[in-house]
Amino acid sequence: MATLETRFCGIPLVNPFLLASSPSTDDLGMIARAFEAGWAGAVLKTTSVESDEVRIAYPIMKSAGHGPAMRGLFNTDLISEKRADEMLEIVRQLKDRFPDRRVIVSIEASNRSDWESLARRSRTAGADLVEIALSCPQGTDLEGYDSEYGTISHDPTLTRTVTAWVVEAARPMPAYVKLNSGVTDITAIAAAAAEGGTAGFCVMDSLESLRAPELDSLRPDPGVEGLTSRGGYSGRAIKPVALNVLSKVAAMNHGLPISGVGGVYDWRDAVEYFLLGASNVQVCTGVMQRGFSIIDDLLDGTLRWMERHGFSTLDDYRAGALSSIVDNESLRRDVPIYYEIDPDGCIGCGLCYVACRDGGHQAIEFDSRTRRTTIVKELCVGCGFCRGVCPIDGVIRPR
Amino acid sequence: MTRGVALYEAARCLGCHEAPCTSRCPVKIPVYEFIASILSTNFGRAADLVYRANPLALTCGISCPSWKYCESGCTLRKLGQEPVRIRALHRFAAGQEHRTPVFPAIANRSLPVAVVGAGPAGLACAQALRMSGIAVTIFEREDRIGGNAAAHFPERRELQAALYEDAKGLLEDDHVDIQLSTEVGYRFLQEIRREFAAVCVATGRPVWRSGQEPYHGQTMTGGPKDLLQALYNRRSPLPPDIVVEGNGRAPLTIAMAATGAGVGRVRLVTSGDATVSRPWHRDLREAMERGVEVIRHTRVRAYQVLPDASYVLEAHDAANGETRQMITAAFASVTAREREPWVDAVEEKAGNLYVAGEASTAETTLTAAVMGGLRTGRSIAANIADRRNRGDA
Repeated sequence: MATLETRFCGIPLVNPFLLASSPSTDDLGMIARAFEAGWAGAVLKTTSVESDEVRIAYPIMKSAGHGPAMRGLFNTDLISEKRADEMLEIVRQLKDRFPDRRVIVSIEASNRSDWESLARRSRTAGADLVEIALSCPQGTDLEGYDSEYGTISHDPTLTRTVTAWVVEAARPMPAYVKLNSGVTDITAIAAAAAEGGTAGFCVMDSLESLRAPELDSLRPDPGVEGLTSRGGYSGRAIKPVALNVLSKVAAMNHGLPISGVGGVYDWRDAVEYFLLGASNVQVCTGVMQRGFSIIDDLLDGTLRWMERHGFSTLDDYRAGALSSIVDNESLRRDVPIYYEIDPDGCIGCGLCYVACRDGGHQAIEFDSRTRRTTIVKELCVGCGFCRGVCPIDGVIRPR
Repeated sequence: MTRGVALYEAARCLGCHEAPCTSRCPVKIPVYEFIASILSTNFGRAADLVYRANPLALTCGISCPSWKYCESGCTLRKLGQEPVRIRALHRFAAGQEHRTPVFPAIANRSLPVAVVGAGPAGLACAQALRMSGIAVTIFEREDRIGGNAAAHFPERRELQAALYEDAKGLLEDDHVDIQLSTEVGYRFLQEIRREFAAVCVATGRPVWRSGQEPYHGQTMTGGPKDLLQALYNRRSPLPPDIVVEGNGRAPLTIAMAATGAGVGRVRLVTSGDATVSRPWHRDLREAMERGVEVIRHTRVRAYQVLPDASYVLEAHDAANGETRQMITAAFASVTAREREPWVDAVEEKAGNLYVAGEASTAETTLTAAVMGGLRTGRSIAANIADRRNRGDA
């Protein structure tokens, strides 16, 4: 019987599914409902000692694609508007009601004493972990320190310094760093955090991004009175970016656990994260869009997959796919491959024909009368593009 | 359909290569292209595309039997899904930015063309002619445009409004004369044939009035024109049987043409004694040898005596040699021509009489009528241009 129980930074988790720091984790009642639904823990919306001065400029969100077809979500959200003591009260009540669930306090500060006091107060309130939110794409400065990188998350020295402050202040409660992918070399930042004593990593925060103006009004959307700001991009579209960053951090041999975030909607996304080195995943946009109940699919799908493959714990396959990542030069060039179209499954839309004609090797023939498509084996190089163009999964297969 | 629903629906379109929806559209609207334009919120291009293919886009957007055309070809059906709601998207595109056509100036030395009937076929024909720089006079029996479409479709109120909207360009154009409440009978038709470069008969399906209802399953034709239309427009190639009434050579020739074309039973009804006194008795004998049944001393107000007839043709007026030739040719062409199902336009080979739109079949559709009108209008314009070129040469 497979189990999803696991550990993160030494702390036991009932399953590897956590709520990421987001609007879903800014309210006691919401998090309580999530825990009742089965979530193993929640990273609270980031708090700071100046939180009560924070005012969010609404509207803050705009999706790419609508409804179930939403590809990504842009936001100019900020940290929680709640005061730090209100946040810590939420921690107390959650720990009281759900002792087996993990409450992680995400903290952000602009000077040493604030970083340290937030870490200490979180520990006192009974939090299980502290997430060091260096990573917000909107940026975090540090008073008294001039950084050529602009924000802490891009600066290895500041990352090491801040990590060390928080880790020391939080002790014995573990603290880990959340990484931002928008840096030149993520491994340099991760190494600096490891030197600072981080207990693990969270990979990754939303991507720094920008929305173009709305084309009728020529005003930004989201925007306030014709003005907007840079923000973060999340959702399905960022998963390959997050997996790439994850795999780089996971391959560093620091021996630290990683919490994966970015575009997790269903169990397959989660398993991909585990295979590329994550110990657990955090979900934000998927939950915001589909609700806390997606936990059912995450738990059930992951377990069934594990049983199908004979894995009994997450550690049996965690990081299992890392060894298959090599430099492109190391890939063999002489393995024969071509694709075939299943004539019974083909619906005759001709999309593969157009794609191969104008985006491939002109290896697909289309019969205008019968609407049949055929791949000419001799011309097909096996690039695999047609598979994704076909509206029906599995109709075009490699041979 | 709201903008949001239109975007949702447009996103369902797969965008098939050589899209079956387009090839099944009578007016060949580039379906995928206009749907893709909706999806990219380029509503202007979407409107251009539908109006370029179909000047009565708004009208057809309401009442096109799209389930028989574009939507029947939708690839989504192969997945067991509902087809993309193409007609609704079409209506959305047409309604977003209505296009009033900009007609060119009238070409030199071009006589106007008469169009009989201001229904969808007639309006489409007039539009096509006007687009070719030809002035048009439309004769309409009723006191409003719209024809059968505005009278018999369930959505007739909307249709009527849409027709007026679509016909706005014609109604406001200085070179389009619309004569409402003007009935064109056979003799008037012959008259106007001399006054106009061509006459397009776009009278559509005959509408039976009270006291005139045919017997069940029977299609009655009022005159040669109707038979001609029926022959050209019927989807089933030939009527199973036909009754021709008249005393002259014309009904006889028509009857012989009908047997020659393979009509199962042909009856010739004559009020006199057809065997002796006529100089054409040899022809009559030949006709009888070919299987024409001759009923003498009878008048065809004889529907009562021939309740089993599918077609009754009063051919008194067909004495005109040209009309006789036309009908004879129609019999020949109906069997000879392989017809696309929606083509309901016909061009007379000789003379200047054209027929557009639907005749008396139950499968008649508004879009087919529009298609017929457009085709006929273009064909008339091409012929006029031809003649002019020959004259110039």
